[in-house]
Parts: sequence; structure tokens; C-alpha cells
Amino acid sequence: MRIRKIPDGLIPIIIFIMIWEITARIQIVPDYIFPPFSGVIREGWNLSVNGVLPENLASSFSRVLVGFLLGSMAGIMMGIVMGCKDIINRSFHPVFSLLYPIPILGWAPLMMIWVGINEMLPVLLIFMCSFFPVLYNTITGIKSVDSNVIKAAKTLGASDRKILTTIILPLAVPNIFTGLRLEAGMAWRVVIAAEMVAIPTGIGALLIRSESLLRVDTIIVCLLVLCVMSLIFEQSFGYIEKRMTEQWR
Amino acid sequence: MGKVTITNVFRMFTKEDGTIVHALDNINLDVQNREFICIIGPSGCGKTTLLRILAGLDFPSSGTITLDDVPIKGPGPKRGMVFQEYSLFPWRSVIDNVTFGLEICGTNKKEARHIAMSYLELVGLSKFAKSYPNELSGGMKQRVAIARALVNDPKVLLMDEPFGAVDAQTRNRLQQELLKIWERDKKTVLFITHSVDEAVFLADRVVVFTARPGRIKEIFDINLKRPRDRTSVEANIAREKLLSSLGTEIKKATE
Repeated sequence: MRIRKIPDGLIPIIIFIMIWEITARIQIVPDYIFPPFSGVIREGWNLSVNGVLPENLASSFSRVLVGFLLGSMAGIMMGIVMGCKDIINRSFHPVFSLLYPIPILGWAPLMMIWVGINEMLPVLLIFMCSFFPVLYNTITGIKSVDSNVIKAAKTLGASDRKILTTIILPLAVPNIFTGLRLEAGMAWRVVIAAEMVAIPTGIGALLIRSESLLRVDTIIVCLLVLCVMSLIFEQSFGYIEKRMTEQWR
Repeated sequence: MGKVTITNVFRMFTKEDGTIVHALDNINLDVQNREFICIIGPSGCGKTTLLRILAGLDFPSSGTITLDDVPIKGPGPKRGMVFQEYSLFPWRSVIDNVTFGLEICGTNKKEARHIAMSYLELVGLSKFAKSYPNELSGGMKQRVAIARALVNDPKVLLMDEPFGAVDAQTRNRLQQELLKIWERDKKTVLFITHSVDEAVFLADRVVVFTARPGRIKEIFDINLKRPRDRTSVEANIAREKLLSSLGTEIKKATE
């Protein structure tokens, strides 16, 4: 179904690019301030061939992946514990609900002092921004499991552990994936910000460097790459979520 | 065997505002092996609480319940339960719903499917083995729930208003199918219902509960020949007796 929708959405995008190309070529503002789309693509090609783009993308990508994987795993595990054990939920929830509203980048200066300016910094920030959404979605998922279904499983002889693995987790999966999908885009925002302020490698660093060199075409290339990466992350989690639940939902 | 003995069972709840609710008040009942018991009473009279205690999902405040002289201490495969809201596992296909109880007991997958299939045939749903619960009608869902409860071959089947949510026609058919299974497998059945018709059609004995606190008011023997005729004069007389006994309780409960 989704495949059939794409041509529809493609037309406005093509028109948008054409208007961009034409206005840039009229040269109301000089090329280096507002380059045409074709110029951006050419710059993207050059940056790919000379290795600058792949190299920076790889460092951003690996940071996102590591922080994201660790953060979500921690979030899922903590969410399971908090969702199942009321006493732990009541002990941690007040603290977490104070920490969660703080914008993640607000932590950056503190983390720069505590962990230093190194690979740990972006990974830690992404870890934190991944942890909370997945934590809360996992808890919600567990709490929303129909208690009658749990009772039914109990009467069929399921132990508490079996109920967790065979009933609660499968039912919580859709919520967990909602959390993963939301934070996948967030993780990219955070890594870029961290690289812009502190780390000399990655797409964020390339952005800042291009700004000081007044390379608008490079900046736009970076933005396009970010757009594609965020989209791929979000869409793939949405896709997995749909595949896992479409039969029974 | 499937002999259930309920002795001096009380159940009190403390509500959040601190008031104590007497759900069950000195319940005594001996259920014979292979007996079909219907429990009927006004809403909120504690009949579901009693069934939950029998299932091992709840515990009496005092008193004992035994199955074949062994005290009930929690849920177990000797007692199968069917819920009013079906409570199927929505992410599992029909066959996987039925195999659940076997998987928990450690039966190997192939054998579990084989056994589950035979129970799906029994309830007439073998063609829907690969469907998901959201694709089934209410009556079909309840058939799956019955097959799921039967799969561990329990001695006692506990049914909490199982046919309360299906239409009248489907209900009649499900009642007949249940009797067929009961006669074939000879299980003990405790069946909660709101319907006097249902009780008279199904039960060997009907237990009437009082309004809260739930006590046993009367026990009626339904000595009608099986298969029963819903429209017979004897059935009508039994219904009348039940209705008048129940009527005063329902009045009390609503006052």
C-alpha cells in the first residue's frame, strides 16, 4: 500500500526541487549563498568520492548505533523491571520523572566535564535520549496488558516467569517499538548537536566546518544525508512494528 | 476423579476506603465427580469470587477447598477455566492459543499441535486453526477458549458466564456442544450463569446464591432426562421454582 503512495508524494518534491533549481540559477543571490540543486548534488558526489562524507557519516552512524542500542536495551530492561515490580516502579519513577523533562542537550556541558570531550560524550548523550522514551513505552506496554489474559495464562499453569516471556512481552512489543521509532529520529538530532559543539568528526562537525568556510552546498549535502538517515531509522522501526502486529491487531 | 469439596469458605475484601466487603459467607458445597453444577445469583453476589478461588486465582479468607481431597493452593492443570470475555491471546493463532497449556507443561511441539487439533475438531474449528482471534465471531472465540481449557484434560471445568456475551441462537448451540463434550469426557463442571433457562437446560444441580454477602440459599436438583427438551412442562416447572427463589434475591440486591 505504501509503495503506491510514493508517486503521489513525489510530485510536490520534484516541483519543489525545480523551483529551487530555477530560483538559484536566476542568481538573485550569489551561488555560494544559495546554490542550485544540481550544484548540491555535484558537491555530494565530490564529497563521496574523496571520502569526506562516508568517513564523517560512518563516525556519526556508529555513535548513533552504539548509544541507541545500549540506551534502548537498558530502557527495555529497566522498563520490564519497573512494569512488573510495583515497589521498584514506585522507587524509581519519581526520580526519572524529574530527569526525563530535561532536554538532553542541556546535559552536554555537564557531561563534557564529567566524561570529557571524547567518543563517550555523544554515545552517552544518545544513550540518555534513547533510554527514557523506551523506558516509558515499555512500562506503558506492560501495564496495558489485559489482566484477564494473564489470569487465563495462570489457569493454564503458567508461572510468573512464563507469563512475562510468553504473555507480557509479546503484548508489550508494539509499545516498545513505538518508543524505538520515536527515539531513532531523536538520536540523530542529538549526535549532530554533540558533534557541532564538541567533537571534531562526524556530520555535525562537517556542518560546522562548512559554515566557517561558507560552503553552503556542503551544508545542504549534510542536511540531505541527515534527512535520509533519520527517515531510514524511523521507517524501518515502523515497518518492523507493523510486520510484527499486522496479523493480530 | 473430579470431586470438589468446599467447606466453610469465607472471603472478605477490604476496599480502598477501609470498608470491609463480605463477598462469600460460609459456603459449603460438595460437588460429585462428573457432576454439572450451575451457580446462579444476583450480580455482585460473589459467585465469580468463588470460581476464582476454585481456579486458584484468589484465596479464601478462611475455610478450605479440596479437589479429590487435595487442598487447592493455586492454579493448576487439573482445573480449566473459561472466561466470559474469552480472554484469548490475541497475537497467537487459534491453534497456538490451544497449544499454550501444553507448551507450559512441556509437551513437544508436534504432539501439542496434534492434541490441539483434536480439540479444535471437537469444537468444530479445525478449519480456523491458522486464523487469529480478531478474525473470529464471539461464538467461535468462546469455542477456542473452551478447546484451550480442555487441552490439558482437566478434571474440573470452571466456566464464568461463558455464553453471556453471545447471541441467543449461538448460545443454544454452544450449550448443546458443551453437553456433548461433558458427556463424552465426563468432567465435573461448575458453570456460572445469569440465565435460568441455561441453568435448567444444563445442570444436574443448580445452586442459588443470595445477594451480598453471598450465601448458598437453595440447591435445586434438576431431575430431567437428557437430552433435555427446553419446552417440556417439567422444564417449565423447574424454571418457575428457580425464578421465584432467585426473584426475591434480585429484589434484595437492587433495593
